[in-house]
Amino acid sequence: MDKTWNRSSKIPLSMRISLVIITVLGLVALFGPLLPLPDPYAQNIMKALKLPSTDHWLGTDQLGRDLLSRIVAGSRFSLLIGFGAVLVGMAIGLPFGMLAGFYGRGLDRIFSWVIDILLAFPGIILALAIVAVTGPGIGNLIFAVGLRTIPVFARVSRAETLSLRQRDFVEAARALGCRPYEIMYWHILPNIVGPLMIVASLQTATAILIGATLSFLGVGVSPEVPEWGSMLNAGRPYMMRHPHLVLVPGCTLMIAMMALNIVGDYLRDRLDPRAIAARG
Amino acid sequence: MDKMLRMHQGTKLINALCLLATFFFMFQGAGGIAMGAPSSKILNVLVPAEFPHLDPGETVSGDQYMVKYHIYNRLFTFSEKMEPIPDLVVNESVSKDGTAWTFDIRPGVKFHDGTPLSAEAIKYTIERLLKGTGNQRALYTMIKEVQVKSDTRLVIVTNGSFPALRNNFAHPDAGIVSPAADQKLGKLFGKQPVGAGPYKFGEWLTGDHLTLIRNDQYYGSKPFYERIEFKFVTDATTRTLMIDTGQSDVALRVPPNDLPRLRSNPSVKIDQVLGRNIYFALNQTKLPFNDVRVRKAVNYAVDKQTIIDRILFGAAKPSYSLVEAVQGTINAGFYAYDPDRAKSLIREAGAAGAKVVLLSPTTRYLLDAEVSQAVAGYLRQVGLDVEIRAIGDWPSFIDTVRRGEFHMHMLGWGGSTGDPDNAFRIQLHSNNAGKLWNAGSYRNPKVDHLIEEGSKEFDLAKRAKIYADIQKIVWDDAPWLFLHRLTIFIAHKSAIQGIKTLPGTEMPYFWLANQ
Repeated sequence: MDKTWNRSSKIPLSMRISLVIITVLGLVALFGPLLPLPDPYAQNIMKALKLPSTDHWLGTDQLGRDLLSRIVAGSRFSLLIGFGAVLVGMAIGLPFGMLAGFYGRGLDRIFSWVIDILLAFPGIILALAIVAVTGPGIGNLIFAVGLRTIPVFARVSRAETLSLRQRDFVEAARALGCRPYEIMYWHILPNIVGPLMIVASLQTATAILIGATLSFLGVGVSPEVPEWGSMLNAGRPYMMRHPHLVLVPGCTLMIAMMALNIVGDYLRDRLDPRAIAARG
Repeated sequence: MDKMLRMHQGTKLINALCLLATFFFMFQGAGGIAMGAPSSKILNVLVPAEFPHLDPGETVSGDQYMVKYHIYNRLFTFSEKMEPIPDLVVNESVSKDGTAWTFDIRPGVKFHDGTPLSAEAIKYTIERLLKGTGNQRALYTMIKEVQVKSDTRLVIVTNGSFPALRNNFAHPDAGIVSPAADQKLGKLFGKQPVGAGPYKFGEWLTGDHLTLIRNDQYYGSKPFYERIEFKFVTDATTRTLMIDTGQSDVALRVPPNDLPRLRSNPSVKIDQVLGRNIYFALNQTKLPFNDVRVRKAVNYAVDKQTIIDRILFGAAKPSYSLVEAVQGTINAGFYAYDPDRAKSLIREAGAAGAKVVLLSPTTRYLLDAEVSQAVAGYLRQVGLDVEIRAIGDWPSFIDTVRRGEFHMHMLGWGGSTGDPDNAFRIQLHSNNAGKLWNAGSYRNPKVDHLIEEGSKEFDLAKRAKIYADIQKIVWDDAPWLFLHRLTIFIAHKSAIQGIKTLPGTEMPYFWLANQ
């Protein structure tokens, strides 16, 4: 195994806070329905647009729904889209990239060409185009955002595979008669897990943001669904007199993004040989 | 190594200057939209919803009407009370049996492309619409024959008497098209329309703006504004901000919750107009709405006044009839908020737990998505399983409605001819079942018969009775979930006067405006 842990192991404060935030987010997404909160879809029009109070800790939206429970319910969607898209990306991009890097030549040319085309589109535009064809809905959203992460994973795994292919232990395995898929599975795959984790955490943040953007633009989910981006969009007409409708989902998104990005940066500083070398 | 990394002093200075220049030009650009300075006489109007074309054969939105109203003119036009008054017509008479109308039109009128507007052009226009498949065909289906007697005289023969013919000819889609241009452009005519109205078509950048240029050969009073620029801004908050900061001259459909802010601005004036009736058409070709009990239940289930008070900020009144912007509207009834009655009706019909797909537009009608969600909430409370499908793009929404993939969908109707025949025929006659405006496929032979009768009846008292009967029957049949009639707000710079509106279509027109 080829891993490099560096000398200092004191975890900075920002990283610790971010880990806590992500953990809380994950727990809330998993166990949200069990919390003693009102139904996120339950309307009570007589109590619309109320500011935060003891009854409703984050206030109510324009149809009287409790904002805190909607944020909690929304975390499910956001994390579902984020992790779902990343899983799609890894499941497809990883084998593609590994095969391209391992076999090289013709196969590499074709795969690289496809990867380049997919990478050429700005993420949101590509996702918009897909959703325009497939229609709205969570599954389609995950697919659309996932399509964008595939080339990122493919590129990383291809690059790592290319460099690993020439290493001594791979040569040795080949000499011993290992078949290609055995080499890929036992020797290459374990070594690219590190860089992939970095990419995964950064891509999760991007995926969540693209998902929220699509909902913000009105193409993601039904207007009732408490997805954060969709809530941002719905809150806009009321922004001037009831800003909490926009501040609540907006700040939540921001905090989640920041936490994921900080974790991703930290992992990259730790695990990426290039970053370690630059630190000198 | 160090020297390469440190920036040369000069480079820093150049970078700073470039940055400053960028900011400078950026802020210049931000004010650049406001071309409404009095000296250049351009009227800048913010329009919420764009449309696919400007062909008179078909209309999908009130904003589309508005632009067509400026480009084309018609035999008749509407007074402020939605009564038809002569426009191109200078002399008219009708035969004793009411089936043959003789119209003398104004001589010497020219289309925007210079060709003459003669009786022949009018005949061409009518036949063109009848040959096509657009939804405005219904304006002319009662016309049997058009006879051109001379360049300025024509006789229109109808199938049976049809007193509302003059109303139909005043409709914004009764615009007269230039036959020469139509033949030259063919399918492209809708994108480069040629009429004879006070403004002619200038340019159209899809998704951005549409410009009209004053027709200096117009026979009516010369409009003040040389150009009208219709800018498409779907977001209501953006429209409010743009009118508030003076970046535009007129903003259509400003949201009621922004009114306090605009009212406190002395350079902005708000005009208030009674708009269209909003309702949900219930699809009678599917369960559960094929059962009248469920349709009535839905009307009892929704608390219309609360929706008006809390979601629309008071900018509406509950509907008391089908479409109220037409003559002869009566108080057809009122379904009070009675959820218990709704629940028992649904149980009786065996429809408890029935799946209902609700199609809602977004940003098309005032707070439409919010109203849809509130309605869904109420329907769920009485035992229906409602799924909302929101479609933001109006042409896509219409497509989905046409495919029939829904149980209920939101629509609004203004009553654009002032005469009930047009409204009732298009929405309630079984001939139009399955088409866009009667997508719920409402069919009632009694109502069909009354619509035919009403369209022929010249006697005003008898007409009134026929249309009153239609309203009562339909109200009872409940083909729709009757909701409310919207109040529409148009904001404009206080310096601008003379903006008129056609009630019902919520449509302002600007050829009499000035400042």
